[in-house]
Amino acid sequence: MTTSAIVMMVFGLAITWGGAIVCFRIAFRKEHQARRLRDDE
Amino acid sequence: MTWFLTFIAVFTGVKSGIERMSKIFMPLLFLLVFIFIGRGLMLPGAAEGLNWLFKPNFSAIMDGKVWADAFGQIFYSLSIGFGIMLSYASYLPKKSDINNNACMTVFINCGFSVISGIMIFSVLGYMAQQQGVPISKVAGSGVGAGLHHPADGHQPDVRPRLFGTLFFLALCVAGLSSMISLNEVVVAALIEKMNISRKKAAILFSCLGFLVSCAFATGSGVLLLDIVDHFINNFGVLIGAFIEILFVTWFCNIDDLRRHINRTSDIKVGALWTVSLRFITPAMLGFMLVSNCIGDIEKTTAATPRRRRCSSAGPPSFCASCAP
Repeated sequence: MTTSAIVMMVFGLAITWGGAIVCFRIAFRKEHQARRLRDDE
Repeated sequence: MTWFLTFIAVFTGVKSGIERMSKIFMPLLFLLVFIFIGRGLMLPGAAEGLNWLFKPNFSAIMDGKVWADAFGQIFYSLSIGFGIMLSYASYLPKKSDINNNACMTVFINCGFSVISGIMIFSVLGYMAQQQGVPISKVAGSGVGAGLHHPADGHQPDVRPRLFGTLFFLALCVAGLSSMISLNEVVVAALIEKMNISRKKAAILFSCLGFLVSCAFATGSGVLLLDIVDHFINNFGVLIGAFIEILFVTWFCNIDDLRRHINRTSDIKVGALWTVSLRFITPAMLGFMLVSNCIGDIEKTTAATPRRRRCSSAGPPSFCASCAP
């Protein structure tokens, strides 16, 4: 594989799965906060 | 079998049917795809296939057709305009983070497309090397690419039957999950419009769907499927999505919608979101519709009378798809 193809593949995987991981983290953080609020009540 | 499994998923409800099936199918699909990627990357010539897929050609950015094709690719990949997102979103709690859910859907969908591309093109590279032809000769599209290439590419494998079986299992799992979502759209619509229970709606639609789909299992079923698929995807879905986006962005208060979704989301959408929905999306959908119409008219005028008679099954199937 050429260097440019490797870079594009890594870039594509990083953008897509990196974005998905960021969204998961936001969702888990919100779920954790909601659970803490319910426990406090 | 397919209709029975779909019926079970939709009949038992959102949580115990659709959600449970998704929890089994999605991890299974990921596992199968990773098995194939692992196998495909070890085949000789795989690197050439991946090179063909990922080698950049930045001059294509200035080509308008590339943007139109990319828009079309993401439109069909995300299944927009089928009513699936609307149906599934209607089951979420009111305070759901809509923006985050939308971003998650998009990123995971695109990420899966990239790894599927790695799976397919590693095998295509191997096939091209074996046949001594360029990769463009072996790279097909549509049903042919899905059915022939990856299974063919594993022919000289030590365990060809195993990989062939696993590949078609992966296709079945992916197809079933899509079919469940499409069925849910119609069943949800029947429940709302006819005021009947989920069980009755599932039985009604599954029986009707099974009977109609028997036509695709006949001798000329693939031809019929090709025609129906062409008209529903190239016209039906596009027209539906076009009307929907125009209605929502020009006749409903889109700023109210934006405020509503931003209220419960950490990821905020701004003016670009409004501009994209109001102008860019309708323009691209309109362009795709017009170019599909022109392409079909040109093909029909150049076609033989027999082909024209076959294509006449298209418009009635498109009208039938608008009925629900």
